[in-house]
Amino acid sequence: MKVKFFATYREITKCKEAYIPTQPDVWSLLHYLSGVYGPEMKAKLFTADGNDIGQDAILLINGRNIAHLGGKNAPILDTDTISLFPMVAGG
Amino acid sequence: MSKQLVVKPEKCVSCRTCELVCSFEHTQQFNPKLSSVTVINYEEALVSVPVMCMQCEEACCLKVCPVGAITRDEQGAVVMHPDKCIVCKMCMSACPLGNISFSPITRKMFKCDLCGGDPNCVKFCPSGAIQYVDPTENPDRKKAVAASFKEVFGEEV
Amino acid sequence: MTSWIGTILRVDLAAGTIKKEPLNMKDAHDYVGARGLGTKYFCDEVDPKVEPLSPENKLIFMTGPLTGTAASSAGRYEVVAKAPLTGTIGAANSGGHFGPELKFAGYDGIIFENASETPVYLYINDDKVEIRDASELWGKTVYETTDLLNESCGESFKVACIGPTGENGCLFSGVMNDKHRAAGRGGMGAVMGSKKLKAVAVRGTGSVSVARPNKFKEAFVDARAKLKADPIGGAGMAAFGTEVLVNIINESGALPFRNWRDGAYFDEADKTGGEALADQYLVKNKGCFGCSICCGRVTRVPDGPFKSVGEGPEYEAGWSYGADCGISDLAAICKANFLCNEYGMDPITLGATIACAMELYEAGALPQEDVGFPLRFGDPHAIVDLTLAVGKNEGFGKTLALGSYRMAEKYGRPELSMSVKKQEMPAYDGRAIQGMALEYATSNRGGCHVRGYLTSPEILGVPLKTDPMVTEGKPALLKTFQDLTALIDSLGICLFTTFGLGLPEIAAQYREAIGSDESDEEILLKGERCWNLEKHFNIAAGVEKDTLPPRLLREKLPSGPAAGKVAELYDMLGEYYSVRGWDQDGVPTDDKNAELGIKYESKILCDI
Repeated sequence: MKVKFFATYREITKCKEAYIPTQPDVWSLLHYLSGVYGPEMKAKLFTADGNDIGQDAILLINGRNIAHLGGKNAPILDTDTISLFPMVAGG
Repeated sequence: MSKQLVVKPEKCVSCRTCELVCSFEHTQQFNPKLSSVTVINYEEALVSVPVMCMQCEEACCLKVCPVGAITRDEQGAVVMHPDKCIVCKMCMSACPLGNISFSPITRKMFKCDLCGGDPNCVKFCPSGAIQYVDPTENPDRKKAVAASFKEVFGEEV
Repeated sequence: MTSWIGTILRVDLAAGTIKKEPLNMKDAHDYVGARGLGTKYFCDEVDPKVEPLSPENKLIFMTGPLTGTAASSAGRYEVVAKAPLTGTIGAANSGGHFGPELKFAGYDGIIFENASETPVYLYINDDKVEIRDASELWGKTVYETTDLLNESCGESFKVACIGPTGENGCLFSGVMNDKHRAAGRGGMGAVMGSKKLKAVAVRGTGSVSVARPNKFKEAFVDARAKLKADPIGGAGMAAFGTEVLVNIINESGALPFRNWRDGAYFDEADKTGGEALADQYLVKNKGCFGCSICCGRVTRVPDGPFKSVGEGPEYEAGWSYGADCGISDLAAICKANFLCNEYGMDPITLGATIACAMELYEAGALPQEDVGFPLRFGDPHAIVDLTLAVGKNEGFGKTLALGSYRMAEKYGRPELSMSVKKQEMPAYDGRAIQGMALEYATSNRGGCHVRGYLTSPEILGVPLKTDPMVTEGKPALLKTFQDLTALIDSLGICLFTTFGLGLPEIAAQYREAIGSDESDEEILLKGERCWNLEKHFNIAAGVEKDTLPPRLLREKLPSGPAAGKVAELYDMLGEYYSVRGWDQDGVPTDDKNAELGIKYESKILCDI
């Protein structure tokens, strides 16, 4: 599966995208990414108590926000592209 | 060692919040002309600099005042006493940096007094362009230089 | 005491007279200030059928009660007139430092009436106000005009002015202040140019006070702390600016591509986004007056054919010159944006108009001899050269200066103008973000994204997460956003404070500044009142009905998360009118008018 990184996440991963072994769902994906990219990544992806997705992580699966696909339990397929953004805005 | 205002122009975003909070703290009005800090813009160089009294060790304003209306407080700040000030404006001429002003509202001279030790400009600057630090230590810059050495030499292992 | 000064200037440019008038405090109370108050003055005094470029149109500059204070991001002011591009009530909002300086000089606003015979500018130096000859300035760019006025009047003067495009009646020319900030949309610059008013130069040494200083300080300290703690209002916007949106909107399949003809995804979008801008061309960020968010971009393209320096681009301009024209060359996008600032025109409309011309050309409707060269999507030189042509009023630039609707109409294909009420919709595809479709259709000044920015909940998940694919709940949500935005625009603070603050923090600063004890809801009602007054004006002016271009209603998106979707406007529009308390034709009912205290009878505005 493909994960694309944007804005401040690129500073942590030092790359724009990565192909990683397919994870069954979003929650597993977040743990996998924390394992690969370290504590700085973990701090953004998880809340302080580790029980929920961090405020500074917006996740899209094929362009759809996971909030509408099952949140942290949203399933992931081989062919999916995940996009990871910090809280961003404009207007 | 008393703290000093230190300016980092590369961080200044020219928002002038410092001017607003300085005037408000001292006069309860928003008026950049009543502020003891002023942001100067250099457009072509793409740089802006907040400028305020540097609390000189040998303060010309303090020395020249004929009525002793300028003294040094516990924070090391050079402060104005409006009740003694006769508004002769000699301090304004004496200051080599232009950091003493006349207020048309109070009709007295005014200057930066470090807000009694808790400078408002520092508190409200959104980018850290004005800091209140011990001037004998320059930890940020020394550390940054040391980190570059570490990166260069650390690779040759 | 209050944060109002209590005085406005009324300038008759034909008679050459200047009057200092007490501010209408009842209207200031009911309509808050800036956008709301400027609109109220306008509706009281001007016939809605007025020709926008005739002397009878008025041009109003109005600050808000928070402008010039240390409230969160409180540097804004509004320019109000009947908009030449759309024929609607037009109100354009701008930041920078001009608005506060007007208050320091002793004025809450300026009303310009009639037209001068020769070019003039308004000189304001505290209580000294003069109409001065501007013949030396006429024809000069925004940068030149500002520099010349700073030389002749003084360095500390703040300048709002038009470029040559305003003089030439370009329908989307704006009023620029502090060189790089814009009251950009709808053609306010053309109104100013039609009055032969080149600039306003102001210097003020006075103060802005507040009613309850200690409580006001608590309110702004609280607001600023909350903004600082917010990831967007704190560090995010300062780091990447608004262009950071390019990638998330693109990944969401909502970045309109090639005049919305080729779907809503651009595979080279990343080359044009905030990350690329920060990497390659950003010098530093910049803040407007009293702002802690500081999202401004100081940008330099160091070399190459598009070598230039300036400010921006912002997201919508980056899109209109980027994905909308099929362009991935960020240097060209920057240069085109700087030219818009320099010549004083709206880059959103111009970029989208060029995109429309590109489609007209590729469809065979626009002959090459009219343009002067083959005009294709993806050509970076085209966007820069054509922008300059509009700036100089040369060649095909004269046609582009009409905006996309009138241009497309001229070539027999008006449906290819991606506009509503003749103003081009910015950078969010309404087929992929249903709430934005409703906002474009219903916004009082035509195709506008910012006044009902549902992208925030629908894509960014702020302040709540809603699904962009559905229509349920969007009408009520849009009304709240539109009313709150109208309130914020009327206060004189920046809309971006909503990334971090809610109504309570915003209302608190207002209350303590003017000495009010109104509730949050009573204060929000004033935003609704502004919205409804604008609607009354538009109805009386004969503005066309709320709808969208056929492409959005009928052409399904080809791919992406919203593949197969169209804008389901009519699933939302009826409910929106109900929620607003209007009838099914979109006309405010008597009950709603009574609730808001509005009775509008075409230039005669009576309060019940």
